[in-house]
Parts: sequence; structure tokens; C-alpha cells
Amino acid sequence: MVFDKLLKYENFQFEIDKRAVYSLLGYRKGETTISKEMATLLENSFKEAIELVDTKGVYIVRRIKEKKNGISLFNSEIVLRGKSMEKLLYGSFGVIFMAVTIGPELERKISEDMENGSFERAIVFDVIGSETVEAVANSFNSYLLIQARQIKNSLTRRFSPGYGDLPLEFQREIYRELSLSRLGIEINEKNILFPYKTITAIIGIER
Amino acid sequence: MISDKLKERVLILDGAMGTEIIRRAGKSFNFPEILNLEAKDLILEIHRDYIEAGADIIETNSFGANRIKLSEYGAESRVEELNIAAVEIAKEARKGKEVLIAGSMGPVGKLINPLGELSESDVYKTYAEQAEALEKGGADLLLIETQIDILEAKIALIASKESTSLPVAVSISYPLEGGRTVTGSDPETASIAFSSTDADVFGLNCGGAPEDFEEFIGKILLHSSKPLIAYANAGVPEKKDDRVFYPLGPEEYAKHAWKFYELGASIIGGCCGTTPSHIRLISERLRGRKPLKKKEERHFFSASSRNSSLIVGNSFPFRIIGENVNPFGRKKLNQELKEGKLELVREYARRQEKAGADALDINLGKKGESSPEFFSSAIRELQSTTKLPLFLDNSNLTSLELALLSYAGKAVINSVNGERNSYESFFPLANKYGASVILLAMDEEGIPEKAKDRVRIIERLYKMALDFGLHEEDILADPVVLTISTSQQNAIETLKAIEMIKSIGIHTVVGLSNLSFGLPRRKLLNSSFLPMAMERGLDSAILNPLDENLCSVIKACDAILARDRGMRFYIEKFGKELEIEVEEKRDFESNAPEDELFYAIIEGEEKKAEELTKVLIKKGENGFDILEKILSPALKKVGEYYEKKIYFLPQLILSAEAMEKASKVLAPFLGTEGKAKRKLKIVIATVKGDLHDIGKNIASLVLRNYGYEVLDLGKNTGAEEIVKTACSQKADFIGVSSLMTTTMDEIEKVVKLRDSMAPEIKVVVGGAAVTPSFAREIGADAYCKDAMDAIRKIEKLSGESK
Repeated sequence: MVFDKLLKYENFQFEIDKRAVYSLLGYRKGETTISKEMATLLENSFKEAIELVDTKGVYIVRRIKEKKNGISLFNSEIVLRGKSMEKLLYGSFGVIFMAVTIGPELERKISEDMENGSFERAIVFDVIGSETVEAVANSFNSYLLIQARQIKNSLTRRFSPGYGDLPLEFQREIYRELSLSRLGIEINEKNILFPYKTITAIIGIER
Repeated sequence: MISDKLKERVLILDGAMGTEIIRRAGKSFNFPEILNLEAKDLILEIHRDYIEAGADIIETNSFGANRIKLSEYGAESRVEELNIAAVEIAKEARKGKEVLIAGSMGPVGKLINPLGELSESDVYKTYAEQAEALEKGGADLLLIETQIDILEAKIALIASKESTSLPVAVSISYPLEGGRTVTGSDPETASIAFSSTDADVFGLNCGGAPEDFEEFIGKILLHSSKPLIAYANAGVPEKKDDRVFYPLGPEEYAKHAWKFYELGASIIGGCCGTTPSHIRLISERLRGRKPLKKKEERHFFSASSRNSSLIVGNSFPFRIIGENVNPFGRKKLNQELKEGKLELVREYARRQEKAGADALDINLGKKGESSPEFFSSAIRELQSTTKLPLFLDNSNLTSLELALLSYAGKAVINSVNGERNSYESFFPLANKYGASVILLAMDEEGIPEKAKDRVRIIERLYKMALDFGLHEEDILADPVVLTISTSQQNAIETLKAIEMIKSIGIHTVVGLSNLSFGLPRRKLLNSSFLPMAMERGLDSAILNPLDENLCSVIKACDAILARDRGMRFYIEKFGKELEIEVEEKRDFESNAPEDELFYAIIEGEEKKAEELTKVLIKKGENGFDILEKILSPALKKVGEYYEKKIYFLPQLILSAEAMEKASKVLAPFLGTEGKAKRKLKIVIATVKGDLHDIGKNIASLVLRNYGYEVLDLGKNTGAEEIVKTACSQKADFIGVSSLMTTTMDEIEKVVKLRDSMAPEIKVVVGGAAVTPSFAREIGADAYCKDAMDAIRKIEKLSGESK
């Protein structure tokens, strides 16, 4: 793994978990019956959504300097505090900061559909978007894992701001650390990222 | 002549003839072309007006002046007379001006067998006769236009080229939804079909809206390097007081015309509904401009049928050409063919298409070689059996020529080899019909043993093919697979040859199954060889598409070798399958509009719901009754379905949308008794620290669809912002959600803040982490399990407060 270098990736190969999408939309096997038109709408939405996503990912690896008063890092001002981080990074010597996004087009389409009253498609797209960014994050995650394994290291699970006691505000520090503005991602005063379908996360590297 | 001019500048074509005649004539006539004799001045005036407006090319009034069309008016013997008269008028109109006369030739009005009753030779003769007359009259070029079947257009082109020496333009019309000709070809497929013919100009006119043309032009230029002609109708015709009119005025149409130019069109004019004013404006904007460079270099091989196309090249998935229609080693098929039957042939074709073949190789053995009629009638029938492009695997020149004449699209001749009589007869044939070819690494001395000798033959043939007028996209090379049962060296030489041929930039194909001939476990050998060949650059193969394992290996290799962009096809084929039960549409057997409206809401059919509500109102039904007795119960039923999971979310939303449409119709009729209830207002948000908003979004959408005014503050929203907004907006409700236990405290904050700031506003809460007891404990007014539950609770609460 290369330390302290910002690395970018595009065009991820991923598989959307259709089962999850259907279940989020309220489908229950054996109970829900779907009309042909509806099945077509869903199938077409999957296809269209895939055309509309422009996947991008970026990560940087930092070496851990000290684990006193929070976890400090070499070449970075970030200090990771709190129980969640302590637990996650207990056996780690390094930290990966990562972010993935599926780009703005799908969201643009969703708001267009909302304005035009095609709510049913908007909701389908919204759910697909969430699953897609999840799938992309997973794909990126496994790519990082393979890299780590080549040098006989392993990775902790992926941890995102807003969970445990890692505050959502931490998203802003990752935003800066990864220069996410360069990927066209924006952040607002409520620490929410645009495109919405963007995931930031922290992963520990262990020997 | 025309191509020289086009190098310098864009040419302006005139506008409509037919609609102009109707507009100006003011009296009825038998058919438009008769006016060339009966109302010469009228036609002359139209031509003059177009020339005066700036047209560089005018079209003769001869669109329907062919034998078949004229026979409808008993005028079939007047073809020559009417066409010559048409050109004479045009010549008189252009006197002293530098204007080209295009002889217009429209469709004959009937389809070719098996789609219709005409034979290819009927069509050929009809166009040849009209083309000759137009040339005799003095036309400068021929314009085969508004064509609705690519086979007819192709025969028209060949007939025109063979019976005159004029340049020929071919223009196709795509009037069907989604941009298709009447017989189902899209612009890309049609463009491939003509890309290698000797049409001098290719393009489109008439069918479709001008804005659709913009997309079509892009697709055509992917494959066509010919000058592009584009002339659209002045919008999609509308009917008003029983008269058809075209909505686009000169200014609006000229904007589209400019777009055609920007996209790469070099002859631009107007079709139905355009007038001299339209052409004047186009001429003012485009006159003197150079055609824009439009075509990128193509590096792929192409073929097509009437309804689908085949692209072979480095960055495209490996293509499977079905081998099964071949009697060699297939006893039953062999027997059938001997008897002159085609049942099995058609069944094999269907099965291979279903299994995922991209094209089919058609080899009818001895019978196909010795009987040209049998071969061509099989090709004709197969075109209505399968939509896939066909490879004509035959070495009899007459068989091939007859088959090509009846083939709609760009066929592939399989194959041309290094023997003189092969290439000297097949290259010109390919050229005449715009077909593609497979070059076979073989000559008078047979198939060379060594790869380098095979490649030498291919190289020589490739150069000759180009000299004969073929293009890169018309050529595939077959380095030949031989069985390794005779010499193990065979496969190695083929692999080497593939690599060498690819390195000089020619796309490749092989007949795969020969490899294992005479050996056990043939499929194993075939599927082991193919990945090696693909790695060396093999682009396609003639193989058995019914061999599932082999096809899976191909999909996997496409993914590994980056031929499958984004691994789309791989994931589509092998990704997790999800079985969804699909219900057939319910046949509803009642004509009572009340019942129909009820079901329109349940099935979420917006338009129907709207119409039926109008019908009921017209019938004098009371608006309030419609609402209370039909719409509300229907929506309630939908809610029940959703709760019981019979419906899932998108269905619920569709029904709610249908309800809204119907309600809008009702609104003015609800009178005083139903004095439209004030919409309840609700502020909704996911609390601070929480980014999970799928559930909240769904609730927000459903509430909106059920007629609430929803103010969605989004996710990660502070308690203060939520309550303050609710106060300032005078909301009736606040809805907050949280997925995580860590953010549940925030919900409590919202309730506490509400208590102190605005106790009259009700708070309803939900989300994965929230439970009914938690909701009670913190003093929320209700806990909602999901979106439908929220509606029920909110309705209950608002009832109480009244």
C-alpha cells in the first residue's frame, strides 16, 4: 500500500443487489404481486440507472503516529477520537480514508421525475441509487483488501461518520483530507455531501 | 457533380411539393403527378418560388409517378410521359439559374414478399422504368425518398444505378414510435445497410419530429461516410377542423435545420408542411457554409439485417455466429434439405437466436449450391424467422446474387479466398449489394500450413478488396481452424495467424468446431481453445450457440479481456437472479364507468382515472359522491393491499397519483358542501446526526400523494430548525425519523422543543430505531410503523383535534 498519496479510481465494476432494492420498495416474496408494466418499469429503471451513474472513488493511506489522547497520524492534522475509533483501530498501524460517489446525474434525474410527477420512478431511482453507492463502496473495499493482502496485511471493517460516537461533523475532515471538491463533491453547513449518494469511510490496516 | 459542390458548401434542397399543391390548388385532382400535364403553371410557380427562396436543388413532381402507384389511377402506361413532363417543368423553372434537378422517386406503396405481395424483380423494374424516364427528361440526380422499407430502397438504388448514369441519393423515413421505418429498421441499422452501397448521398426525411432527426443523424453518422441529406416535416401534423396542418413556422423550423447542419448534414431542406418561407430562412442562414466534418474513423466490422445490426471489433463483446444451419454432420437436416424442406432450418435459426447468437451462418449444403432459387427462397424465409444478420455461406455466384437481391440489410458473403475466380467474382458482387465479406486464408494451393503464409494470403486479399471498393468495415478475416487430430501443430499456427492478422488491423473470425473434429469430448477442446484465441485477439467465431458452457466461457473472457465494458453482460448473465412473480393484467368485464374508475385508481392508471372522472361529471354525477363513494374507497383498498404486501411501494404511489389526477378534475365540482378541505401541512425531517433517509423519503412522498402539504427539511436536521420551521410555516404536524439508536435523543429534543414553543403542533415519529414505547415515553403524539401507518395516525389525530 502506498502511503500519503491520494489515489483516484473511476468506472467501478459492481453488481447492484436487486433483492435489496425490491425489499426496500416493500416487495415480499410470495405476497406481493407485480403487474407486467411494473416489472418492466423496474427492469428499465435498473438499466437506466446504470447508464446514469458515473462512479468515482478516492483514498489515501496514513500511518498512525500515536494512540494517546486520540489517534494521531503522520502527515495529517486529523486526530481520530472517541470509543468507536479506539475500538476499530485497536490493532491497526495505518488508516485508510476513502470516499465513493455515483455522480450527480442520477440525482438530477430523480428531481426531474419529482417535478414531472413521475414519483414512482423517482422512488425506484432513489432506492437504486442508495444500493448502487453501497455496491460501489463494497467493490472499492474489496479492491483495497486485495491490495492489503498482497503484502500480508488485513483490513478492519469500514466505518462511516455518523455511526457510534464518530460524529457526522467528521465528514468535513475526510472531505478536506481527500480533497473531495476535486471530484465535484460539495459539502454544506449541515455536513451533508452532494451528490447525496456519496459514502465516506475509515478503514484500519492491520498486520 | 453534386459531390464536388458538396465539398465547397452546403446545398439547400427545396421544401414540400405535396402539401404546397394542396394549399395552392384549391380544387380537387386525381393524383398530384397529373398536374404536370393539367396544371403545369401551378407546379412551375411552386418550383420558381423555391428557387427564388434560395433552393440549390429542386425536386420534380414525380414522387408517386411509378407504374405500381399509377395503376391505382389507371395511369400505369403514362410513367414516361408524367416523369418527363415533371422534369420539363423543373427545367423551365430554373432557366438561367444554377439549380440542380432531383428526380423524386417515392415508395411504390406495396411491400415485398414475404411482407407483401411484390417480388424483388417487380420493384426493380418499376424503379428502373421511372429512373430511365427521369434521366431522359434531363434530371441531374435521382432522389429515392421517404422510403419505409430498406429492402425496397436498396432495390431502387440498384435499379437506378444500373439503368441510368445519374448520381443517386437515398433517404429513409422513420415514422414509427422510437424512430423506426414501417418495417422496423432503426436509423443505425438502415445506415449500416447503405454504408457500403454506391449510393452517392444517404439520409432521412419525412417521418418523425424534427427534434428526433437530431438523434437520428448522430446514429446514421456512426456508420455512414456519405454526404448526409436531411429534410423534416414542419413538425408533427395536427388535425384542426378536419384539416391537417403542420405546426412549425419558418423560424422554428430553421432552428432545427441549423442543428442538422451542426450535426453534419450537407444537404438540407424541408419535407411535408414546409413552404418557400421556410426555405428562404434556411437559405439565409446556411448559404455558403462549408459542410462540417462529421465522421470519426471507424474501426469495426459491420453487418445488418432489416431489424438488427452486428458490430465486430476490438472494444466490442466477442460475437457469436450460429453454425447450426449446416447439413454437414447433421443427418436429419441433410435429409430435409434434400427434400427441399425448410422446417428444421427455421427451427435451428429460432433456437440459436434464443440462445443468444449475434448472427447466423447459413449453409444449405449441396442443395444450396446447386439450386440458387432454393438458397434465395430460404434466405427470404429466414428473414421473417429471425431478426439476426445472416452470413451467406455459399460459393455459387448465382445463389449468392439472388440471395443478396432479396436481403434487407448488409449481408456477409462467406467467403472469398485467394483463388482468382473467387475474388474476381465475389468482390464486385459485395460492392454492388453493399455486402460484407469474410476473407479465407486459402488459395489455389490450398490452406498453407504456416501462419505467415496464411497471413500473406489475407493481406493480399485485403488490399484487393479495398481496390475493388470495399471498406475496412466490410471485411473480416478467417485464418482457418483445422482439426488437431491430423496435426497438433494446426491450432498453434492458427493462434499465431490470429495475432498477426490483428496486428495489421483486420478483424477476425474462425469456424471453431473444426478444431476438435474426429476427437472425443469435442466441446472440451473447443471451449479450451477459444479463450486462447480470444487472448490473441479473435473477435468472433462461427460456433454452436446452444453449447451453454462455451457461451459462458465467452462471457467470462469478454469480462477478463475488457471487451465487456463495465462487465454489464457478465453481471447481467451471472449476477444474482431474483424471481419476481408477475401478474397478468386483470381483464375487467364491466362497462360501468363507476366500476372502471374504481379499478383505474387501484391499478394506478392516471389517464384513465382522469378521463373516467370527466365522463362521470358529464353524466351529471355529484362530485362529492364520486369522491366519497368511488375514489376514497379505492384508495383505501390500495392502502390495504400495501399493508398486506400485495402491493409494493411504486404501485401505491401510482394509485395515489391517479387519485390526484381524478381529484383535480373534481375540485371545481365539489361545491359548497365539500368546500375543499384545507390541506394539512406537515414538516418532515431526519434528525441531526442521521443520514439514513430512505424511509423518510418514502413517507414524504406518500404523504404528498395522499394530498398533504409536505415540507421536507432533509436529513441531519437540528431540532431547533425543525420546530422553528413548523412554527413559522404554521404546520399542523411534525414528522421525524431516526434509524440509529445514537440519534434517538434528537427525537426527544424535537418533542421537548415543541412542548415549549408550539404545543398545538402534533409530532409523529418513526424509523428503525424507534419503538411505540419510546414514542410514548418521550411524549410524541404517535408512533408510525411506515408511510401508510403515518397517514392513518395523522388522520386520526387531526380528527381528534376538530
